[in-house]
Amino acid sequence: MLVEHALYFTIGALSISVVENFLKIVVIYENSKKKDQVGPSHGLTSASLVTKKWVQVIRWIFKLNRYGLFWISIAIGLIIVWHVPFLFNIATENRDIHILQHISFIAVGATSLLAIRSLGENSKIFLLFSMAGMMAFSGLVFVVLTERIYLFYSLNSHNQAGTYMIISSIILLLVGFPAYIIKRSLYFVKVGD
Amino acid sequence: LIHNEYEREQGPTPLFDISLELSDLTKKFIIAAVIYFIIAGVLALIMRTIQSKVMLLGDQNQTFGLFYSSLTVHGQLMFFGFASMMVVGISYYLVSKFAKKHLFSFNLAILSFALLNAGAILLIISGTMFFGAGWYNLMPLTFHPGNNGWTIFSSVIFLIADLIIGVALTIFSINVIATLLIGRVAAGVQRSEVNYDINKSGEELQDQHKSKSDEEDKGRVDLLIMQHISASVRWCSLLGISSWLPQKSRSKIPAVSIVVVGIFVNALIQLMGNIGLFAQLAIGFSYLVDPNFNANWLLAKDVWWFFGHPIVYFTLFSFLGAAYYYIPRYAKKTVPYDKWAYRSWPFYFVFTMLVFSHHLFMDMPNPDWLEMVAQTASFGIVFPSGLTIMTVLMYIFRSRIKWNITALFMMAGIAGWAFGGFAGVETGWRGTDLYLHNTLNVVGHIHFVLLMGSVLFGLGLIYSIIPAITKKNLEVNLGIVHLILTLIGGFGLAFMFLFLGFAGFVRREADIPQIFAWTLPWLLFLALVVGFGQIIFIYNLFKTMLRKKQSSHEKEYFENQQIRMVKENNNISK
Repeated sequence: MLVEHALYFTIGALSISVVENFLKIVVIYENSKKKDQVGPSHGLTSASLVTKKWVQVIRWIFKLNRYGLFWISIAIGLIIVWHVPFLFNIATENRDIHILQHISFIAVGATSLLAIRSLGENSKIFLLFSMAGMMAFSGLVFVVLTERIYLFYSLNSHNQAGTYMIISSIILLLVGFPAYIIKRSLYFVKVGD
Repeated sequence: LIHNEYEREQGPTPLFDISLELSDLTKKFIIAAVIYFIIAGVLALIMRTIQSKVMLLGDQNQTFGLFYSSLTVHGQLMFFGFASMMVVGISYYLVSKFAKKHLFSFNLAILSFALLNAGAILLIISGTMFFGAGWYNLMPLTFHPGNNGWTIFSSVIFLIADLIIGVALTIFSINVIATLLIGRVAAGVQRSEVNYDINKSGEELQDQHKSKSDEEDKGRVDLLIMQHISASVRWCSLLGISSWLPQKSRSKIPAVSIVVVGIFVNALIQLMGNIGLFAQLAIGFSYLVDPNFNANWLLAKDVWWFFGHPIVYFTLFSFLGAAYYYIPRYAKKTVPYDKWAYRSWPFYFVFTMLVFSHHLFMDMPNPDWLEMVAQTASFGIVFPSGLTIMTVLMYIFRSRIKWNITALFMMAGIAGWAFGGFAGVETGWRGTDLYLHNTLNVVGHIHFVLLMGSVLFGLGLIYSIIPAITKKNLEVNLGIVHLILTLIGGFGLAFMFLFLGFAGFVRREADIPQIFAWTLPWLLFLALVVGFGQIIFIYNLFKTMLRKKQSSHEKEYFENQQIRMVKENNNISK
């Protein structure tokens, strides 16, 4: 389950990259067309009109891209909502809600990527640190559970999930966190030179 | 050994002049801490008296109830009313002084002071109502009132006190972290690391560590300049990670003062640890409100120690950071940037967060693998601790250290902490913990780490900070008497606890077996010695603060210092 959900987060993040690249290609194509055009403009074709409208919509959405806290709040909110035992249990029983849950996780991946890109460096580092801490903490909750929270999974699965979460958080704290800080520091030092 | 001349006793504080408001607040923190220290000390004497079979309240049940409430309030008041109060107050002072800037929010600092006091007072009130579940919130005892002991009301008061204290510590952590992460910060010593020092003709100079520095003012932290540092570089520096980088990279990352590193690591760990306290309170309150609530007490205990272990280090880290600066300064060594001083901090940061589960080896065991992680972390923390002790010892090796009161207190603190560390590693090992967990050995460990570690560091710093704030020196002879009595009483108590634990003296017991009766007069005597030492200290402290006139020495010295401080502040504002 952990791997599956992590995969959805990745898909969400990747989808943002794909959309952005697609938009870049469209803009480059439109610009090159304008350059090639000789003589007075004959107005927009219906295809480029649709593209223009689409770009306007996307631009409006991406205006929010400056506010990292907005995106991270959406991501955190979605994660919390879908881990409420009542909702989680319904999602495992009902196929449609299950699909909705997975779409939400894709959205979590997408919003997280947007948040990471728009948040300041301090906030990013603090987020990474908090993530390790919260994962360790939640893992602890799962490791010592004596009753199931999510009815679809056995107690043993709960405890195992806790174990994996603690191991992941320790790796994040010991390897990911210092590696990120060191890498970024050396980059800034290099740029400073 | 002791210098008679006291005019420089206040020590090598940087020249940055902190605000008058912060000076006053620091004084208030120190005074409040000392008052709670005395109250907590009196409770310790009450415990010793009751164990000596003196029925203080006539009735045995009530007297034993008083023992357990004294035990509880003594522990929590020492931790939160005294040690944490002192750490928070002194940390605010040191952060401002060594980062050369004002706090992120002075109002938050006042709020943390008010909340810590409110929490401490509520703790005392819960004690008067015979609440006695232990400072460690022995789960689920705290949340099971009405067992012919304390009332539900006293439980609620105690838990609200803990909640308020948790909020105060969170506010402190946020204030310190924001102060250091936002805006400019004093940094840059690393650029003058000894190997990179260059003389006027451009040649690289070799190691400049000498037994005695030529410089008149060895406060190299004053040479730090205010810098805008990018976030990741700043984190790398504040966590001490940069000290592990190769020389080439290390020299390019500006280092903040080692004192600042200690306080930042402290605040960050505690901020995370506080989540444990809040989670434990949430579980407990849910159970109090609805007894049908299916509380997981193992989880409650786990999360409590997720907070409870960091709070022990909380009393230490800020002071250790300060020791790294003060001791070499007293040893008259120039330590512009010593990578070994910084190298222990990333390990303190990591191991402190992993070690909590070793408190649960016995009564409510966690899964085996989690206990092994905690055991490994318990052994692992020996590395940074040993590194700190060895580094500090190397500072005084072949130096002409000025053994003034601050230096003596600090070195005694290093010794006490080291002894406590040895005992901690023993009980951090599951095999030994099986035999020692419920004995006075654990009490000995905590008295070494706290009373003979953190408290001695804190008292030493007070001898340095109070003159810097009040521009008046504390009396030297009284300080020496204070030191001697504290060392005799404190080390005596802690050693006795430690060895009585080996002999099987059970802890948390009001009624002790006859076989250990001989120990009680000794324990009472040693506790009285510590207490008497503190009375002398308080007399010295208040006498100095209430004294209106400065001596001619003080006047001359502090006026000169003030001129230099104004100059430094002008440089910073430029």
